[in-house]
Amino acid sequence: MESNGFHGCHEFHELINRFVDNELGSEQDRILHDHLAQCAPCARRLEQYRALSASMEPETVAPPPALRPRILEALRAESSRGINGAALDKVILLFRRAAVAALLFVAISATFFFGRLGTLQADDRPVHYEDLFSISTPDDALEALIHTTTQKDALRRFTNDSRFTNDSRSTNEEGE
Amino acid sequence: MEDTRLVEGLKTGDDEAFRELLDRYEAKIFNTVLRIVKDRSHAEDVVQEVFLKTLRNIGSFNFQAGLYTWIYRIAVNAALDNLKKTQRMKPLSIHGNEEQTFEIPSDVDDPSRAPERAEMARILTGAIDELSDKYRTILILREFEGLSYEEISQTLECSKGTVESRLFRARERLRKKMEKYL
Repeated sequence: MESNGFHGCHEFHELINRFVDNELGSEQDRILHDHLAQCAPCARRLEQYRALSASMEPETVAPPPALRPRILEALRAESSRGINGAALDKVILLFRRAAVAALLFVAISATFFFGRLGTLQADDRPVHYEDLFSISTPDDALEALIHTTTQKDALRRFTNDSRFTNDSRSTNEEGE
Repeated sequence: MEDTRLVEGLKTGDDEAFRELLDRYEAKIFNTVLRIVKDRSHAEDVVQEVFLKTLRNIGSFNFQAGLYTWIYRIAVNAALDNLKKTQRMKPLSIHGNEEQTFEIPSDVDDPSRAPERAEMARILTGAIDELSDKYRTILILREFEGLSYEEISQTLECSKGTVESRLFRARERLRKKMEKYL
């Protein structure tokens, strides 16, 4: 490490980068020049950066003459639309966003709804699907859910009833 | 016309203000955009879009940045957006349609070096084109437009440290490719 706090040539390379852009403070400028006086590779790096910068003198291209009338016309048209035009754009944007939100809501609801039907169809026990089709409010949805759950519970109780299970039937057969 | 008057004129739809705006910035913006998008036809479309966006957003301009920097920001963003669109459409081309070359300062006293200079210009153009958009854009703003680190950071909405490190990396990449010519 040098006495100026720099840790090696790679840190001076960054200073050289800023130096060619005239973005170095006077203190850093002095530190860099002290280093360059005793470091040939860094001095060479500075020359390379300068040469690169000097090489990049691009051809300036004149805009085509037809461009300005075209832009002016577009600017005038835009200006004549004025505040009302801008406000209209905002309203249209608002409607577009609302439409996208509505579509998303429908898509998510449909996914949930048909996913729910798929779950019920996978279950062999009978369920009144018309209850689901009549859903139009959250209360309807809750009621339909309670209804189908109640039906399922009743069915489950019925199928577990010992009088109708295989075990009870075999006991009866033995008795006979 | 001062910037404040120009901005007021643009807000009220003053035709003279439009002309003043174009007098000041049309050529500069056209060249910057052309360097980024590398296609003359696309550059024309982007420049028109830049001035329309300038007019649409002039109401929100509050002089926090200079008018010049503000318009440059619109231009660079519009050019980069255009570049992304065209790159998606033409994934095989990295050089675009416009073969814009950079002039190597001529050693007019030494015509024997002309072929070497032409070769260097060709390689430099290719090396700059091969830089990623973020390095190429920052190099264009610094080397060709002469913007300071502060102006670049305002234009690209990034820190001065980012400007400095990107410029350093861009130059290092160019230096390695151009080493034998430097």
